[in-house]
Amino acid sequence: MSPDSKPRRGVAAYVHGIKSDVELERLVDTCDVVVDAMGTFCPEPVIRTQNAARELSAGTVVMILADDAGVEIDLPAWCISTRNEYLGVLREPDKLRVFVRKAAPKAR
Amino acid sequence: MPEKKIRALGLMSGGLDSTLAANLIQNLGVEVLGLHFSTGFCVADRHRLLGNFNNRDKPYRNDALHAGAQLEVPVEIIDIKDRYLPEVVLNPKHGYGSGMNPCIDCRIFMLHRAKEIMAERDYDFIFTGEVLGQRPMSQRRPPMHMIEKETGLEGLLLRPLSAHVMPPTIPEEKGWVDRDKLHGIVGRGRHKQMQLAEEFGLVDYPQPAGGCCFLPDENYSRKLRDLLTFNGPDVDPDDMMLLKVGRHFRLGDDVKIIVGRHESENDFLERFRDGRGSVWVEDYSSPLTLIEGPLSAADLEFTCQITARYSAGRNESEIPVHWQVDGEQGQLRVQPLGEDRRLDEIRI
Ligand code: SF4
Repeated sequence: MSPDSKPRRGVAAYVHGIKSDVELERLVDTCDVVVDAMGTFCPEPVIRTQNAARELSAGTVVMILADDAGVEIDLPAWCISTRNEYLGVLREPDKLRVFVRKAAPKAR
Repeated sequence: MPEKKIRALGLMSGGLDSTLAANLIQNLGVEVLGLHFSTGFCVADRHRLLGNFNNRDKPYRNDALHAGAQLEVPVEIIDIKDRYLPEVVLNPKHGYGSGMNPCIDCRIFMLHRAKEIMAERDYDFIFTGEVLGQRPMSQRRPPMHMIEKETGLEGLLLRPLSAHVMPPTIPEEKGWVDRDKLHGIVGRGRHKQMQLAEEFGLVDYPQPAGGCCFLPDENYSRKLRDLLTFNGPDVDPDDMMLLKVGRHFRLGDDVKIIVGRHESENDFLERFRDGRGSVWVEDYSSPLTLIEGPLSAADLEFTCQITARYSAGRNESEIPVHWQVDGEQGQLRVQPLGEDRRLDEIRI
C-alpha cells in the first residue's frame, strides 16, 4: 500500500441513524425545517436537502419527506460525504421521514 | 500567517476513475469538493424512477454520493437538467458520438460550470478522472486539449490518472500537487485502475461496463431522434420522461404508442395516463399501453392487438381488450398480434 493511501471501509453509506425511533418520532413535531421531496426521485431529494442546508445554521434539524426508497441510501451517504449528521429514518406506509442535523462548516 | 490550503474541484460521476482521481488528489493534501452533474440522463435515476432494486436487493444508489462517502469527500450535486437538453443535447457544436451522446459539448458545459464555481468559491484548480485514450470521442489528445481551450481552463485542468502522458499543469508546476505521485494511465484497460483501487482500499465501486449515462445507448438514442423528428425541438418534459420506459411504436406522424414491459413500467406509465389514451387487457396480466396523438379506428384496433400480444392472453384466438380515449371508453375483441412484419416496421 502506498504511504499516502489509507484503507477505507467498503459500504460506508449504509449506516444506521444515531437516534432511536422514539426520539425520531419526537423530531417529527420539533424539527426546524421540513424539506418536501414527495413524488421526486434521485437525485432530486438530495438536491433539495443540499439546497435547503446551504441556508441553515449549524445544529438545525431537517426532516426530509420522500417516497423514493433510495433516499435511505443516498441521504446517509450525502451526510457522511458532507459531514452532516444522519439522525435516522422513520418508515411509514406511504412515505419516509429522514432526519439530518446540519453540521458546522469545516474550518479552512 | 498560515499557508492557504490548496483547494480543488473534481468532476465526480461516481465511476471508478473519478473516484480514484479524487482519492489521489485528496491524498496529496489538497482539499477536494466533488461536483456531480445531474443531467437527467443518468441510468441509476431511471432505475429509481421505476422503483427497481439491484441484485443485492437494494434500491440503486447515487454512485457519486456513495464515492464521496467512501472517501469522506464532500460531493455537491449540480442540477443542470433544464439547460442541458436545449443547450447540449439538442445543439452540440461538436456533434454526437455513437448515439445521441454529445460527449465533447457535455464536458465543455460541465467544465464551464465548474470554472464558475471555482471563481465564485475561491478554488485553485479542477481535476477529472479522464484517462487518455479511454473513450473514442472525448478522451483523445486533440479533444482533451480543445476542451481545455474552449473552457479557458488551460493549465488549470488536471487529469491525475493520465498526468504523466500530458504536459504539466499549473498545479504540478507550482508544486500544489506532486507530479511524481500522479499516473500515466493510457487506454481502455482497467487493470491499473483496479490495482489502484485495491491500494486505496476501495472495494465497492460500480463496474465500468454499465455506463452511467444513457445518451450513448442505441435504443434510447433511436427513441430520442424519433421524438425530435416528429415533435420538433421544443420537447415536453413528460415526453422526455416517457422515452425511458416501454416499447415504442410509431403508427403515424402524430401517433405513437408506448407499451409497458413489466409491472414497474406499467406503474410508471400509469402516472402519465392523464390526457393520453390507454389500452389494457383486464382478464390477463397485461401491459398498459399509452397512446400519444389522435388515433383512427383502425389504429385503435391495431393498438389493442399489439397490447394483447404482450399480455398473458397472447396464445388465445381472441380476447377482450379495454380502451379509453378522449374521455370515452370501450372494449374490443381482437386476435392478439402474432409474428407480424408490421411490428418491426413501426418499432422505434
Ligand atoms: S456519456 Fe453522457 S454524461 Fe458522459 S460525457 Fe458523454 S454525454 Fe456526457
